[in-house]
Amino acid sequence: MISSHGTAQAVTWLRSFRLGVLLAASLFSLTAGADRRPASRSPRPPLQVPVANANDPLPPPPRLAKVDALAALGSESVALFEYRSDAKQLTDLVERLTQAMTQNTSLGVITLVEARRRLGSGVDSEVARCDGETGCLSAVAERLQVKEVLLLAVSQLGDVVLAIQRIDVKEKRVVARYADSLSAGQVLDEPRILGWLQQLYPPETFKRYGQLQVTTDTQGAQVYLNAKPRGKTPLDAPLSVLAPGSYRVLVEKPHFLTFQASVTVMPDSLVEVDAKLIAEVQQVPLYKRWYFWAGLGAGVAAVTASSLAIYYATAQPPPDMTHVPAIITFR
Amino acid sequence: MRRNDSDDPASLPLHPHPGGRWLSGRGFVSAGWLVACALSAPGCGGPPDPGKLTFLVQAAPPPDDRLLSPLTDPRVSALELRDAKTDQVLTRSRFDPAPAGQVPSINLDLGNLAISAPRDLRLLALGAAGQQSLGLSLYRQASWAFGEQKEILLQLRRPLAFFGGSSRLVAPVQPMDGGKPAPYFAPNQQLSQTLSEHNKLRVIDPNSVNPLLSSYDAKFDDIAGLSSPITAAAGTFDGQALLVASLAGKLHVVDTLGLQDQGSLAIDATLPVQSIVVDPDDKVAAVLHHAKAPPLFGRTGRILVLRDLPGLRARVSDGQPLPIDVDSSAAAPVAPPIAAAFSPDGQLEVLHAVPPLLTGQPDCTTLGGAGKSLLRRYSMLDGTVTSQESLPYTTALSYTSAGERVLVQPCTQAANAQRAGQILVRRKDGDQILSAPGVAQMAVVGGALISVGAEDIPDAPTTSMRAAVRILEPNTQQWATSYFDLPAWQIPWRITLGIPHALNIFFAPTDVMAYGIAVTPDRARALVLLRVQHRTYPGKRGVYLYDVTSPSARTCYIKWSGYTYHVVLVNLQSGSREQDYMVGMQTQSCSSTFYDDVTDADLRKACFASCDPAYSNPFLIGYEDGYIPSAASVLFGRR
Repeated sequence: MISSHGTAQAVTWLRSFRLGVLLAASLFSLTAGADRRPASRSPRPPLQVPVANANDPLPPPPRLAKVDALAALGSESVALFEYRSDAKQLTDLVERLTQAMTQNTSLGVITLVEARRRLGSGVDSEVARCDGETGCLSAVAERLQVKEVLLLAVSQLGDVVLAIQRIDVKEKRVVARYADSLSAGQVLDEPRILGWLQQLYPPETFKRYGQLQVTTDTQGAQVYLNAKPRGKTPLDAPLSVLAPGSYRVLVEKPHFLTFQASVTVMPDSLVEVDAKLIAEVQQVPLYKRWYFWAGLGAGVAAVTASSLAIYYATAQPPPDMTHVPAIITFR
Repeated sequence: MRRNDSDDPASLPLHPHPGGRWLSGRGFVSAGWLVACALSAPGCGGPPDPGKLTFLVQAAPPPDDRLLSPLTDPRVSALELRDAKTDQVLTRSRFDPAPAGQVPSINLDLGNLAISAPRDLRLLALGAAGQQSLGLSLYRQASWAFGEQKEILLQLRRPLAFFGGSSRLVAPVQPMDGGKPAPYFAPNQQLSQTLSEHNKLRVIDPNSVNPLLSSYDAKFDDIAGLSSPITAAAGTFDGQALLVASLAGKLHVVDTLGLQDQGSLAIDATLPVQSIVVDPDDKVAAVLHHAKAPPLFGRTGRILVLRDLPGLRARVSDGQPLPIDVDSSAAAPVAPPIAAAFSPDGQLEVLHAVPPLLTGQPDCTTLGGAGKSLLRRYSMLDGTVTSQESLPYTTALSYTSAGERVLVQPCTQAANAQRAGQILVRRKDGDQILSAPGVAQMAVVGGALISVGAEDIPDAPTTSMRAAVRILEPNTQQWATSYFDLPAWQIPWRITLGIPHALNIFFAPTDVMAYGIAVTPDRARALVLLRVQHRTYPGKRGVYLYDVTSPSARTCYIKWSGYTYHVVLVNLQSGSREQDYMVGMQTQSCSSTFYDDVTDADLRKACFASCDPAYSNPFLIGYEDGYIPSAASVLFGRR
């Protein structure tokens, strides 16, 4: 009960905070737009406002590239095999299951078609001869260089009965099972297929990832992702991030203008951000410096945000009175 | 793959502060919040207390929990709360299965539940497969409101099944060998030794590898060491009680928490109880009495209506019994009550017909055609007949969840069927007729019909009958059918003297009738009582036994007819027979004769001593052993 209320409050704060920042940003933008003179080149402390204002030379836009997900991420691959026992319904189940896995998980799926491409057409009979035996299927899967097999068995007795097993190829054992049945004529929708996968795989599997590769023309620049330091350039490897998601990239180095960019990372994609850092060389009077106006704008924004916070604090939405927390206890 | 959960966009901070010099976003908002609080005290008031809903789950305590409690079952890995009427899932909680014999975590968070007006709740304890219901609970008229602190006690039970017996079948002539009983020289060697006692209520866990919970088999009405067979039983729909009728004239209420007898009610002992029916709200029960071989005229049966079943279960009343005698006369013949159901409008409907389990019945040469059964509606206030309808021979009556009446008619042949036997579903848009030979009783689970019976094949000299499992899903027109084999009846023929070895004759099954069925609520399994007929084809010579050439060339043939009785566990997902316990057998007729090899004439001379009345030990005539199983029932009810 308490945690639930606490969450609701946090959401309210967050809403207030976001609105406050938007207003502050608007003010900042207006102020910056009024002065179009070249920016001062004097050295600046590194933690000033990011450089995305118009009086500095704009850095070139980040270069974006999409690459093959499997190749880039080295995803954990799963071979999807199907057995049918006198079941004539749901003939497209493998395709739909593949689609659901591809769209909702970080797993790479190797269907029987892909397996044929890799191992030759005899793979069908090899799989059939296994007759569902875990060790035999694992041996086939090892040659496909996959970590797991997802075995789908479909049979029909009035109901279409489905049994799905996850087989760990290395350990040659079943690590999860799930069975379901569909009555004759029942429509199988995508949420139900996703529900099967959620029964079989841990929640982490359903997190999808993309990659951010940040490079600079000057080495030794500190890279921040969503305000968290992620190392200095050159980075060892692309940054793996949850996707889809929007991220703020900030690159800074003393005596260089801070680089910032907002990028959206899609699942299984690689976004390259090539930051060109520009050296600070000019001195400008205080009132011509951007941070003077930024500070002024921030002050105004703070007042506005406080006002908004007061408004939202006193005008909270009514609490959710339609639900009651419940627990189950064994006597 | 590297996974960094901290990069979750949902937790993205809005102000970059690489060096930590800026005021953090949360701090900034907190400051604003404090200002807001200072300016407006009412806005900082805590939200209203939403209350708390606690579901207390009670299952069998130690030491009974090992076998009776679903909570100690290591297969249970989820609890699901559903609306019992609509089957809508309200919430579910999954957890790691507890080690065998241990109860999983004491408290499971169910999240936030929408407030609810009164409704029936069903709790399901589900196995890892996600569909197998290893425990159930039904709670009626539960409601909760915002701000309420409420506890709801859910009684969780395994969906156990039960069956009983009958008076022991005793052969008039016992097989002897040298003046002593000859155990090996008996056609009872196939009978289940585990289930040999006829006077117990047997407890079955249909979802277990070892379904016989023998330690909980119960005896009732023990007098001088002899207990009475259980002829009828019915589980309540809430799963908390089992009504049990014994041949001694007692109706017992068994609490399913520990399978303890809670008490009994004296009922008519002169007419055995053949069936008990409980209404879906567990408020009323009907007890049907009739003699095993009811007379044509006079008292053919009795209906006992228990109008206060909750009171009887709570031991605060006698159940307000209303006896309704069924008397037959030449002017108004009425067969005994053999089946009943509560209609959707709460009325008691009773079928009157010739009991199908009598030897030689159902004889469709006499029971075919119209007007062989009577469907009566009885007033539960005074027992008067409020309406009646004449039907073809009908042995069972049920209602689907949609309120459609379902009738089992073993002697009516459906169009294009090869054997008699049909099930009639009275739908709003017209009757639906389904061929169902060998079915005297069927089950309805929700909108699905489930029956076990005979394969629809012609009756021919070469017939070897299989049992058929038929399932009709809602809104479908045809059965989904599968088959399983039935064992042959093994009859000892020639004994090696001095050494207990026998040569055997095997009589194939030629017909089958399912006269009792209890289906688990999740439709996973069915406990079925089968009567299997084994006979040589009428009008033919029978089974060749041997031939002799002296003094003339002639051949011995044997003619046979008999029943074996089986308790069968059927897997309704695969259609397979999982367990088959043969518990009784009965010879109907047995004879042998020589045929002249030259003239092909029947020499009318017996050639099989055990079937020859002139022989000193003709024990195969009228041979009987074991018992006829009865009282197939399951907790959480059957419509």
